[in-house]
Amino acid sequence: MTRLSRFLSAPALAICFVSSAAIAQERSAATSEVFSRYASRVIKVQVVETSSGAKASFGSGFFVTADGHIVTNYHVISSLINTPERYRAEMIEPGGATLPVTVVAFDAVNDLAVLSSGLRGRPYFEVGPSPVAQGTRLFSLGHPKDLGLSIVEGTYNGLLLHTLYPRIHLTASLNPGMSGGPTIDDAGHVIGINVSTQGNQVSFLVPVDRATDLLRGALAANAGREAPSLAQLARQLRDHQDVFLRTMFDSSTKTMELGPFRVVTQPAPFFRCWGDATRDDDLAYRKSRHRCATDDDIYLDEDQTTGTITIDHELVSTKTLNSSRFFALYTSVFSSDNSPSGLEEFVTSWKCVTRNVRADSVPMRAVLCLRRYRKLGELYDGFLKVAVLGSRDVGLVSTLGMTGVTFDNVKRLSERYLRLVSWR
Amino acid sequence: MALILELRDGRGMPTWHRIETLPLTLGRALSNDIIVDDPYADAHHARIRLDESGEIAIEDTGSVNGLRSNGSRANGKIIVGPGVEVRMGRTILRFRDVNEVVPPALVESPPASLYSPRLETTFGRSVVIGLMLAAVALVTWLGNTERSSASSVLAAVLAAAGVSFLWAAAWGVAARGADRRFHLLGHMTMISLAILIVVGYNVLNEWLTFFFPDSTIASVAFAGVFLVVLAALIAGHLSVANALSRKRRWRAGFITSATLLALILAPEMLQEDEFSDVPTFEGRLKPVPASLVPTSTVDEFLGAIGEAKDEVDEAIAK
Repeated sequence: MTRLSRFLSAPALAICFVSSAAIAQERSAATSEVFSRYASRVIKVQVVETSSGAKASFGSGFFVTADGHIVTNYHVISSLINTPERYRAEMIEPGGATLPVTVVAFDAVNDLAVLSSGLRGRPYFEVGPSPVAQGTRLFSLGHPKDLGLSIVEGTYNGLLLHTLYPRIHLTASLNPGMSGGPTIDDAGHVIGINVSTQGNQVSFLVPVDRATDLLRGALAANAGREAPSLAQLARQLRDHQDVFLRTMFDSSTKTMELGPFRVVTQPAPFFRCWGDATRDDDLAYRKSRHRCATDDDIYLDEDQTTGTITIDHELVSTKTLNSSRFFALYTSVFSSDNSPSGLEEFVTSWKCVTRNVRADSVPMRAVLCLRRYRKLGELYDGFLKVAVLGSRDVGLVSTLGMTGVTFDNVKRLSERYLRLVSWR
Repeated sequence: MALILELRDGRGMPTWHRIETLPLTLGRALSNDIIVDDPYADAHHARIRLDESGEIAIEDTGSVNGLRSNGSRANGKIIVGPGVEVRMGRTILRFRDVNEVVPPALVESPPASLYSPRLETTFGRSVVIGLMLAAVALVTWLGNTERSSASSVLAAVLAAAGVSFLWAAAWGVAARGADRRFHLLGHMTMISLAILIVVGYNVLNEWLTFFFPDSTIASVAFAGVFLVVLAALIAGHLSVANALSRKRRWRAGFITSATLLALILAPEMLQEDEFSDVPTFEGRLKPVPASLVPTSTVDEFLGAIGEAKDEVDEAIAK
């Protein structure tokens, strides 16, 4: 999934033009009406580097109160939370005027933020529950690729079934820059907030009720609330994981057979699993791989995400190699890196402990690595990797990657995971 | 008092002639009393004779290049005695006293001693070199996971042979001693021994870190093994070249080895930990029955991650 701050590939755009041209005739009247009625409620948001004045990122946003509150995506303004001293945010009105805005509240997990502009009496969208049926025609507003305010027609296709964070599936071509803009029905009800795309007309929205909750919280506690900060971000990440990690890898976790081993698969519905195998006759060995990962992550930076759990099983076996040569292969599979990537700006280097461990009588080589987020309080990344010992011609390397979790969760998940690896 | 005429040719090789009967003729022609094999000398270049006052003198007999004394061409005769040097073409003629005092004889060091007398025979040396190549072949084959590994094994053996030959040749040229021989086989034996020890140490180290992944002995041992093996290698090469006494060879070996080790380790010690998002760990796995592997419990393993936590917390505190 690509966030809308990045670029889409050209073919995806071409498909969009073809399909919308065919149906353009009958809809053009309504679309232009929608645009003219609601365009003034949508603005452009940009984050500027203070010292150079250069534009660091931009997106869209829309008014949601008479007091000039604006809803946009968290990822549009995230650099303001990560390094507030380096950036400032501003909005550009449809007329072209530029005004400073401040972040009032954010929800990193759902990728939303509320900004305050101080502008009163502007037309705005009422956010609230808006039931909508699959197939309903919707309109997305925003600034694709900084080309000026645009309207894109799309079709509502319901909530995604297996995601950790609720997402609406919209069949439309959303483009970078439309992030944070509203997607509305023809009566002007906000259905969701533009957030990401997979290309080929597959786009995603954050359901509007998340924005309603965030806005209500922001307005209710407006007086005594703390300013949005990294500490708040850390707390959001921690609270979020406590919920979804509580039962992960407990005794009811689904397992599957992989060669002579039994391993964890699909720990929760919001994991996506896939596999592949190398069965080349020229090779002296066979490798098969089974992986599962949470489909969604939490945005920290263009190149740094967090809040993910990944599982990676690699089975290697041979009929031709002797045990010494097979173990040279096993060693290289075990030693090859499949750890989550990280940037020095956000995390420390890994520190690892290595032991030969016996978990429920299964002997294995186990490595557990830890690194910490520099500015996110007590949050760590954990990386557990084991190689089952005891056979001369078959081996299993199993990896558990955890990002943005507490130290206690690293230990608890690692322990449960170790006990779930077994011989069939 | 008898005089000795010492001739040193262009390359410094000396010959000595006792001056007993005079006159003596010098030149390139074979009819001379003393034949001077120097293309810059005339066929009949000079003559040594007693002059009118009874002193021994050398004089030019009409040569092209003449005689030179103290850098300038001499006109007429030069009176010679002990200590006088005359140049004739590219040849130096030095006159010395028969009774000149020579320095006392050097005490001969014990016979060119390698580590074992067996290593002084060609057979012993060939065995060592052969063992080294066999060890390289075996280690390469065991580490190779391709169906047909012959080509990579052959490449490794050729590389080991080539590198050790070049190394031995460099030592042979650099440490060519008084006997002017290269001792190629001897030097090859030394580098082969060193490679054998390093390969053996590596294998041992892999097994140790497999059985005891949490011990820190390996990295300490590396510095020690490096120091001793390199010192022994240098001492061995010096011994092959028959240079220096036994004690001095080892001293030279250890000084060189320790300097090199310090040069390698110093930057690492001074350097702060560089950021990396790739975890490093002992990933060597060995095919042994599971019952032989000493194991920790899950609780012990997870307890140890507390140390890693302290380290990353400390990294943040900085």
